[in-house]
Amino acid sequence: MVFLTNVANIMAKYWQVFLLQGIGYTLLLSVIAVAGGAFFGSLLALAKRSGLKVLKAAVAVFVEVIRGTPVLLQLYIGVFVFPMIIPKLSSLPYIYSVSIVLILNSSAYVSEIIRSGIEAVDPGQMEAARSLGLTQHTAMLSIVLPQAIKNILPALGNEFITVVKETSLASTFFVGELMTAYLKVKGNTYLTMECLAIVGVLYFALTFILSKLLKSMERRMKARA
Amino acid sequence: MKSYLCMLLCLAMLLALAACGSNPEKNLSAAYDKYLSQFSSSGSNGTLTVAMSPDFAPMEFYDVAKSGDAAIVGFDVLLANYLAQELDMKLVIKPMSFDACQAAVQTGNADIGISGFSWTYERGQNYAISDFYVAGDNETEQSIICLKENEGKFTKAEDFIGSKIGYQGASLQQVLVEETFGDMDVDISLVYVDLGTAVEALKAKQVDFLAVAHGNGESIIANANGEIAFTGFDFVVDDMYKNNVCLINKDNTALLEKVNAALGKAMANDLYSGWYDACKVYAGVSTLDELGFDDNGNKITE
Repeated sequence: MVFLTNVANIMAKYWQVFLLQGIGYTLLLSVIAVAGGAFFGSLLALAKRSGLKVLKAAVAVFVEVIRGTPVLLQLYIGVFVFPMIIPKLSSLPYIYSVSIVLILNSSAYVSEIIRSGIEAVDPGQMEAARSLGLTQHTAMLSIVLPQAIKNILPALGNEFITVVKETSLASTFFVGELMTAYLKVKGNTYLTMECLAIVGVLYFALTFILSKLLKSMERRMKARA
Repeated sequence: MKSYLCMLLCLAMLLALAACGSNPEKNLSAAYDKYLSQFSSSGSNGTLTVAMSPDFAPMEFYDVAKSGDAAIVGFDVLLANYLAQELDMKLVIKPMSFDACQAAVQTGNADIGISGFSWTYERGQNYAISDFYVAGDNETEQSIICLKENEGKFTKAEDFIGSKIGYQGASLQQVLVEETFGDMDVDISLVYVDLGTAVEALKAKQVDFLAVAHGNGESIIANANGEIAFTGFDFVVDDMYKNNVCLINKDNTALLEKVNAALGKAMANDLYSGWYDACKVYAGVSTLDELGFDDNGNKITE
């Protein structure tokens, strides 16, 4: 009972920190990461399918390194090393460096999602299109990609949900998302479990709503096909 | 699926309801704001970037009623503003986790780390350490807290034989606990990443006692609904541990000299105790009345 009273008191005093700032920044960072990741991820996937050996190798190394190291480590490097390379960053708030890292991280995963999505389309489709006289380019655009997108979109949705949770690591640099809200309030009240419970419920609500939305989108896509 | 959404909506409404019940509070920040407003700097010597971990009331914490950079408040913020004034630099505070603060200073991402650091031998090896500054009794008194039922029952080190004492890892308290209880039959194997987790462990009776800086102990007790109290035991603290220091990059000796000069001046003019009292009020540990302020935050002098 004390626990619930504490939760209510915390919410009464700090609701803005959790509901406005916390959720706001979590969604903002996730959208930035996934939108940026989708854009650069597509470029990476293109590069990987191109004929240039050097480009292919570079992309492969990038993707392997990003997927093979923890996000927290990447954030530290982004925040402390990027400003040495791009001096402009050092005068900006950490959220800029953090966003760049999240975009880079997400783009590596998205490029793999896109690659596997394209590869999952039966090679017979391409062969059939080519033998009907379509060029490689048109066959890709109007035969393979539309089918690939059906594989890609759900996986992209999952990536979005993963990113929502990954943004919590950005709290190391107090950028303002939900986990930062937890740190701020916990620092004031020394009530750890209560704050964690609030943040936990909010994270779950976010990801649950998102996954339900994605499910209904998927269903609609299936209905149309 | 509809019902799930309904449940979520209900939850959201509950949270929103809780939000409506906020109660008006006395102006806790009056004394603090008064001190803060006294500082000014033309910023003609560039910017002073300070790394700080604002989850450590009353040394540095967030005031959610304020926005932007002004939301980070506490003793170390006053100190940072004071240093910026003395060095005639523009102050930029970069909030980050405690261990990131050290990385920031090392990589030159921040000029100086001010986050309730204590002097330790290892820190002295890797950073330029400023002279001491004194945050009231936050560090000079190091105490042990316990559940309310044990309040005041443990006053000598021997009283703790057979019990478990926890502390925050890599902290001054770790050093003190090891020095004091290392040779005794006391379980000191419980190390916590942060104080909040340690307090939960204490409440859940996973650990019998926690070693804390006195000021943090007061904050913890003030927020524990009477569940937690001081044991009555205070550590014997060696002078070198008693105060806080700033971390500066090893190569930046010019800044170190200027900071030390400013710290010396603050010490000579006895600025620290007023700041610390104001922050204790701000963090809700003490009242304006108790510490000799009037309602507008002016220090009452006899």
